[in-house]
Amino acid sequence: MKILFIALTLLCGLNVPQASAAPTPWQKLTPAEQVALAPLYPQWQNLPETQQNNLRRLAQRYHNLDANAKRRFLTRLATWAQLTPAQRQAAREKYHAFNKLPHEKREQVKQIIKQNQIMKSQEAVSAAASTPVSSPLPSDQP
Amino acid sequence: MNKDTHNINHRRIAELLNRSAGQLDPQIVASLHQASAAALQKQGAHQHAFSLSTIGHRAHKIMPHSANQWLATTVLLAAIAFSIADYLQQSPDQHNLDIDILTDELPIEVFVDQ
Repeated sequence: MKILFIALTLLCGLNVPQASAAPTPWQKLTPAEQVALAPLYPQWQNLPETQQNNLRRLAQRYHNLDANAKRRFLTRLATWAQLTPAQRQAAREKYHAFNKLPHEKREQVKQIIKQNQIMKSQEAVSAAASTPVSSPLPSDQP
Repeated sequence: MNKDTHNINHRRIAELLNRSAGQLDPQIVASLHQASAAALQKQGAHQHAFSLSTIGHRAHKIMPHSANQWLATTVLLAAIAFSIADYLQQSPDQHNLDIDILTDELPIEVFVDQ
């Protein structure tokens, strides 16, 4: 019975901190972390502590990135943070699988994706051009 | 001065005790001897010497005995294993992958199922 009690106590001890630990306030982040995590400033307080810790670990590597990588990091961070853990895990698996492909195939896929992006942006531009612009002022005619 | 008084007192007390012991009934003296011998034997038996069997004995004390204790131990070990697995999931490899995804030339949408 003594061991059962100890086991249950330890189990509670293992689970409680994750569930009830308070998130880290933005002000407690280091200036370097604040720079790296700036896109998440509005929602930082609402992020779970585990996610905050993971993001802070990512932020530690931000300052070693080159300028292009930093720009991409900052642009994508908010989208990344909004994903569910399952979505993030699926993305990691996809990325891992993609990197296992031979170099030529990866380049082919990159070309296809780039072409698709260009097509989509062209479609978006043409769709915006064909949409009639509505007058912001109310019409005087009945 | 004080030291001498102490010595005298000790000697006098010892003498008095010897004298009174000499006046005791022989049966009582024999019983006292027996009790003294038994006490000395017990004290010798309770003195622990380190040996491998001591470890075995302690391990036996720690090991669960009843079904409930085994169940609790299993639950505890499972919880520890789960925690370790959870920790390993957040390994540096995972953070490297996250950084790679966030900085790759391919857009993030390629890898994310929205």
